[in-house]
Amino acid sequence: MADTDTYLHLIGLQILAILGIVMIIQGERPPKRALSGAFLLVLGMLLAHVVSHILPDHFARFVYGTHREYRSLPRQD
Amino acid sequence: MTIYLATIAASLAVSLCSLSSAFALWMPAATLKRVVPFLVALAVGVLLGDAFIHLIPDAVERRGSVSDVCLTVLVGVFGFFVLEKLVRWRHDHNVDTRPGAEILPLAKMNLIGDAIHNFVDGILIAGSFLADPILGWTTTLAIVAHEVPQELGDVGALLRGGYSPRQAVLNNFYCSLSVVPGALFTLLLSQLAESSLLVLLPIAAGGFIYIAASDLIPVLHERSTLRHLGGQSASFALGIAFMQGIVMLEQTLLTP
Repeated sequence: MADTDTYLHLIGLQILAILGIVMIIQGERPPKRALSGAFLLVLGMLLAHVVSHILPDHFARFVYGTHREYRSLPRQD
Repeated sequence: MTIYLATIAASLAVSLCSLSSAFALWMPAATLKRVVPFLVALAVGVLLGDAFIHLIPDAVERRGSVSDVCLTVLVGVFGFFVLEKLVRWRHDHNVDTRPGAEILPLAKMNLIGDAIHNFVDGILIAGSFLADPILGWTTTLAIVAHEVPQELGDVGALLRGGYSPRQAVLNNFYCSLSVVPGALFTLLLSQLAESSLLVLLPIAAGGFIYIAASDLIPVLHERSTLRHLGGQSASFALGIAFMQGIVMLEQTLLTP
């Protein structure tokens, strides 16, 4: 079973794919605008999560990964 | 928490599959018109196959009593008959005079039947995730496998019912989103959802039998050339074969 972050990313990517495809199929302008707004919102949330959680985690692992104290910290996932 | 997220991810994957029918938008109109009768025949095979090979045996296995399941299937057929009467009555009283606005009741019935079926799929996905995450993913795979041919057939039926290709694909997709409420209903009220399957499975089967036999098969008889006889019979048989193949795949995947 994967962790919560992986599932949140998977759901985010699925919603992006759905919004993207429906946006292409939808012909009328007002729904298309609402869909593109929703697309940008989901994309923004995913990017914010990457910038605020995943990148700092990776940096910390890269810099302190060899330190025993860092590896012995209790992890949340 | 991860069980909830995994179930939602699996439900969205099933909904996403319904967009596989978007190929209809890139087909030339003349080709699409030629293909629609065969897609309708495929829909008949898939709907009847799904009802007789998949839904009814599953309901019998859960309920244990064949006569109870058959009675509920008949209630489903009757319910869809009354529903179609209501749709036709409303259709006759609200005549839309815009050109191209005529949507046949068969298209609306197909959308209702599909929405119920997808709701049931959502219950099945969430129920299997609650039992075991691996069982949840194998159930999702089995549902995705039967969803793709069914969506192709459904879009064919919607096109025949008067929807434009764009409307057909979008409406079919909106109906497929009922997987998500079905899954959430099960996650929140798992015991109620489990017992509701005893009624929902045969009712969905009754709906499919009614739509295939009363709405779609008469459409197949509109054309009676030798090419249509051969092509439609082959598509009908292919739909049934698809469903039999999926049941065999399910048995392989779900047997420990």
